[in-house]
Amino acid sequence: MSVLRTELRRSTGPAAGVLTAALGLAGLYTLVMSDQSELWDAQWTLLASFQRIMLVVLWPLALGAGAWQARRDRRTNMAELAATTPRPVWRRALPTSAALAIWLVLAYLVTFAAGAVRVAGSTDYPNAGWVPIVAVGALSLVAAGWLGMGIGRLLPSAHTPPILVIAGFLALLVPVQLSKSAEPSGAALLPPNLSTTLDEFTTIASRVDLARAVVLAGLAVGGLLLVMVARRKAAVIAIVPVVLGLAVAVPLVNAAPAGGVQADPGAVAEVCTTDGGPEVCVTTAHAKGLASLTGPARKALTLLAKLPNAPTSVREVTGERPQPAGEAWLHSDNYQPGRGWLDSGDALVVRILAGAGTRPCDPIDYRTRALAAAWLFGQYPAPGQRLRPGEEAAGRDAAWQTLRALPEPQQRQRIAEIRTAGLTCHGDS
Amino acid sequence: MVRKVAATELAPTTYGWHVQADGLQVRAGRRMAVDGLDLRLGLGVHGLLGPNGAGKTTLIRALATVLRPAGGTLTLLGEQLGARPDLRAFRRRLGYLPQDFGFYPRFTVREFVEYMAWLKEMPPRDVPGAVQRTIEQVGLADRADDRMKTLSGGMLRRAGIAQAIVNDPDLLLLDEPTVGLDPTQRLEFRTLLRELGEQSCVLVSTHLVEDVAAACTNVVLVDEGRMVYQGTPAEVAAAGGADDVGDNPIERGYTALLGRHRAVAR
Repeated sequence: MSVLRTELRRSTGPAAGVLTAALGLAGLYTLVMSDQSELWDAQWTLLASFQRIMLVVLWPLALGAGAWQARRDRRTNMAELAATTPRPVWRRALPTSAALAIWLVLAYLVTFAAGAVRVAGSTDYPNAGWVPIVAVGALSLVAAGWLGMGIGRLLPSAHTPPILVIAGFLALLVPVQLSKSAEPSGAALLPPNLSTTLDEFTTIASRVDLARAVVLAGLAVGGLLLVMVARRKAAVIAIVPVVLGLAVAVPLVNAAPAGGVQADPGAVAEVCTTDGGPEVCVTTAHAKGLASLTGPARKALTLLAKLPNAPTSVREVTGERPQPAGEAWLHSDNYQPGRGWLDSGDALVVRILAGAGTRPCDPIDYRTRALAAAWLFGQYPAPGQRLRPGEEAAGRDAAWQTLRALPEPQQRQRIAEIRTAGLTCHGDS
Repeated sequence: MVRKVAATELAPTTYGWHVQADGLQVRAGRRMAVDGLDLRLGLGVHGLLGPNGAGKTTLIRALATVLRPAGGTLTLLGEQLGARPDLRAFRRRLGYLPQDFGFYPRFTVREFVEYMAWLKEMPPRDVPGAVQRTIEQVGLADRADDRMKTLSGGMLRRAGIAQAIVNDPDLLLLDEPTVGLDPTQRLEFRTLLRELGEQSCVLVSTHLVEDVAAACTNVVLVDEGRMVYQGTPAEVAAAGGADDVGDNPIERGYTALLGRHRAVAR
């Protein structure tokens, strides 16, 4: 339709879209330039959720863009001429609202696509978990644009757009601030913007994003009604979809886990060696690390065999469950998507041997973990363990001497105790 | 250029007058700017003359359905405006150029006229042809794809005329359409007016009395919200004498009629 085409080119839509995409790209690639891109480029869900963090800026701007668009008739003095035409107000509002929505959604998707280029190069875990996260983000921009248009039509002052931008920003800052003192729960989960990044093994609880989508749809419909009603008195009807959305959403978030996130079972699922040798497993999110881990892991298993009840497999884990005595664990923090294990060769063997094949446990005793690794590897300092001269290095040297001064069976006994203590750890590091 | 003639255009009208007002009262703010006006307008070009504040713009805005009459009756294209009038059908047949012509500056001329055609609910397949034709009629064909904000004052006025006539209106209301036009453009505009007057009822408000003399079939002279005189330009000219103020017969007729009316009113 030619009017929609015209509005796509001439309304506030293109400017709002370009601004949204530019800010989104700037947000993503500032982190790349400052070498912090692992906050979003490690996995699809991370990119999608990082975009949702940026909504704290993008959402208020979309609100302001809508209000600016709504002022067009007054700004250009078109209202009188338009009022003498037969086209009803609601019908007239459609192409303008559609153009703004199309541009905002497009901008959001372009930002995602620009990030996707990097994610595709680094992630080991292709999955569709990002789809709802992106969809809710895009919907939130549409809701902001339409709500802004509605409010702008109701209050057609030149001050409305800037005030809406500031008010929207402050409103979205509230949950961000609250999340610093406690995990957000209940209605505090409803704002579209996220306060913290996810990690590779966590995703947004689907019921929480569903609740957000319902609230946002209510806001969008309410905003659209404000744009479309013929008379200002009829504007109260816009409250109905907003209240309806909240009524559906609040019970949903009340039953949601704290923080609104849940483990991503697909990401933590194990991928294991199948060649018949001692079993080595990594998480699906780090599947590409399996090949480079297998060799060092099997070497670590032969070294661990010095201990009684020696483990027979190596597993990369994210924590949160008791460790069986038959497994040696390597925490997933030792892997960086796109880059691989933090060390290779013997240094990686030593990382597996840390704490005699147990995960770090709060409070983390690095000295003891390092001693166990060095003893098992049979070299002090073990590869990758060298410390700068200082108090800790001196203390560790002294502890090593004390350990080596013991008779051999007692040394073995001491290391076995370290492993046993590590196995009883209950928390994540 | 050959244009398809729709059946509705050939159908006989079922009303006697395009515009019929009896004792019409229209408020402009708190002032009763049109106060007891009787008016009959049919086919042709009607020049609306009168001093500043005579109620010309208020009358036109009432005919354009911007303002609701405060009293009297107003019948437009056979449709009497009641308490809750259904204006949609009438507005499809209306063309209006407001005195203070508002437009979207980022639209091109073509996009803007297209947009107005859409607002006037023209059948989509007629729009591109009608838009091109009207843009050519007002002499903006070479600027059709330029943004509205790049147009000069006279060009804007012509774009305003183009949007008003794009739907071949039966009632065309032009408030000060010749402001900003240069002499050549005014001559062309008069020709256009005469063409339009053959198909529809055109009401042109202006201060330029010679435009009226040259292009109008009929003159409506108002003062203080009331009708002073309605007649042909020749009749207006005949009303003036050698000692009336004015540079040409119709101007002398204008001042004479106005002066006589004011003398009686006092």
